[in-house]
Amino acid sequence: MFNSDRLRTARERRMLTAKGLAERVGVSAVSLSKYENGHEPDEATANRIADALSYPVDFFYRDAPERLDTDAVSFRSLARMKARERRAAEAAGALGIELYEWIDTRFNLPAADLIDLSKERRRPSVAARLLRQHWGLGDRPIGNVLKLVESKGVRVLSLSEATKNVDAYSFWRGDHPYVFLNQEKTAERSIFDTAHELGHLVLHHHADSRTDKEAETQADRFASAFLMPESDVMDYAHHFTAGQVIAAKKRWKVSAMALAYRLNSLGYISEWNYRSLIIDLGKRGYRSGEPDGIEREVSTVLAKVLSALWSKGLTKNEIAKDLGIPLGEIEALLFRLSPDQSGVANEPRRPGLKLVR
Amino acid sequence: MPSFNTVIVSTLVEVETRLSDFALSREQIVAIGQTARAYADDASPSMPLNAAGMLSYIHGVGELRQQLVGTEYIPDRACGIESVVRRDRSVRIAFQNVDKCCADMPPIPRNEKGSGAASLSCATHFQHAGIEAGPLTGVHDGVRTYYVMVGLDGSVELSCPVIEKGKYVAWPERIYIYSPDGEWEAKPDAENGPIEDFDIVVSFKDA
Repeated sequence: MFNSDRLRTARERRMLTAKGLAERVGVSAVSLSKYENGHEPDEATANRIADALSYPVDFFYRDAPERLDTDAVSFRSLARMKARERRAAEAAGALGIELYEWIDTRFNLPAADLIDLSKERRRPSVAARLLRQHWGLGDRPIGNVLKLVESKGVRVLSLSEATKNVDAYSFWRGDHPYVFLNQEKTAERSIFDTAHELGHLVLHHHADSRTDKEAETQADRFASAFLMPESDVMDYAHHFTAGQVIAAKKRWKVSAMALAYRLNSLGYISEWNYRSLIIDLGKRGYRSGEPDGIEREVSTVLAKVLSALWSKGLTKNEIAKDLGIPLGEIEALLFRLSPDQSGVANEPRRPGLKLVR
Repeated sequence: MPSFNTVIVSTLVEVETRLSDFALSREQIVAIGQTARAYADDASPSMPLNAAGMLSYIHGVGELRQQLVGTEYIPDRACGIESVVRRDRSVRIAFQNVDKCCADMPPIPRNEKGSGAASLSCATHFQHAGIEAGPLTGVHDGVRTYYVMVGLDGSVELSCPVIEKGKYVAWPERIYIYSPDGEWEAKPDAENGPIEDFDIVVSFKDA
């Protein structure tokens, strides 16, 4: 039976309006609206819908997808997002849940080990300290934040290339925390985003706290304190010049701006010094990027899963077929998270043939 | 006349142990240095030329008292030197802007020292340095005077100089607190370096 929720998910993934899709399919907007509200299209129309959306027709005849409760999602940059970008991101979230549930039925994965810190959301630095204590991290810098959160059961996937205006978002699905990262950002920014979303997961998992206007600031302050503990930063507190900040930032794998902000918020550099530092860093190109940036973190869980599947002769193609979604969607969910997409070969490649004359 | 070498306390463990003799922590001294440098950086070009040093001194002394007074230390102004003193530990601590700390070359004060500061170099210090004390007019309470010395680069040490004719001429003891160069304090990486050995086990359910 044709599933109307799946039609909406696929349309939102492609960022099409109902009217736009109707034109592509060659039906009226009213008809398309009916298909999205439970009316069954005939087989030829269903095929045209599938073609127009570049989705396998099989996708539309499966059980209802995991639609996200939109209130339950913490978006990193809601203000500058367009509605269709938000819906595309949420649709990607629905596909991400399907992908992870597919993996979950086949693999033993790390269980979630997060603590409820919603009571501390007005004191994000205290929350960061408590989570560090819970995980036994002390005050040392975290060498691989993505690996850390995955080891604690957080399921990390990539946002698709179609949603560049979304930095990251996160949500709880049952017992499982999910984080979606925009891998188009710098590696340093992605690390901060990961910590920011971790903050949302432990601070704002109750719906009432999610509507808190301060939630984004709280998650930022959590991320800053979690990545750069005060007692560790203290030893580097005399970094007053841009050159010193650029050299020191590698310790915490954060952006130069993030470290400058942290030094200022801890009172280690004055407001005047901070402003001149920001101007200097901006002149050196650290406002829009991270010259001489660090290597991007990749997902350990996904690498292990793909490697184990490969050992049984299964590739991303088989996953896509099994889930009835385009291979491109799988690629988008794993974008720059799996080692083969960050330059490290994971799946053996087909031998290249050369014509020898 | 005997002349002694300077006691240089430089490793993290030694520094913390030595500071505990004075009931001090390294963090307290670091905080004094940070505050002084932060205010020095607040000096803008429109201010007087010596504003950075003045601001550093004013807020350095303020932070010194903020950090220490109330923990058996009391404010002291012997010989006109703004300081704190703890007599049961026989230590007085003042503040001084210098060029650079924690380097082989001892710090040089950024202003000439007066007779008050020289007077606080107690007589045994002159003996220590092999220097003729001359007529001292200040207090001779036997309390050793240390200075939280803050360098232009943010380096900090807690040191005890012998002062003669406005200059530091000898050093009974230098305690290295912080250097941005970081060379004097080789941190053990295993304890303070980034942590990344997180174990992730992924296995087939049917395995």
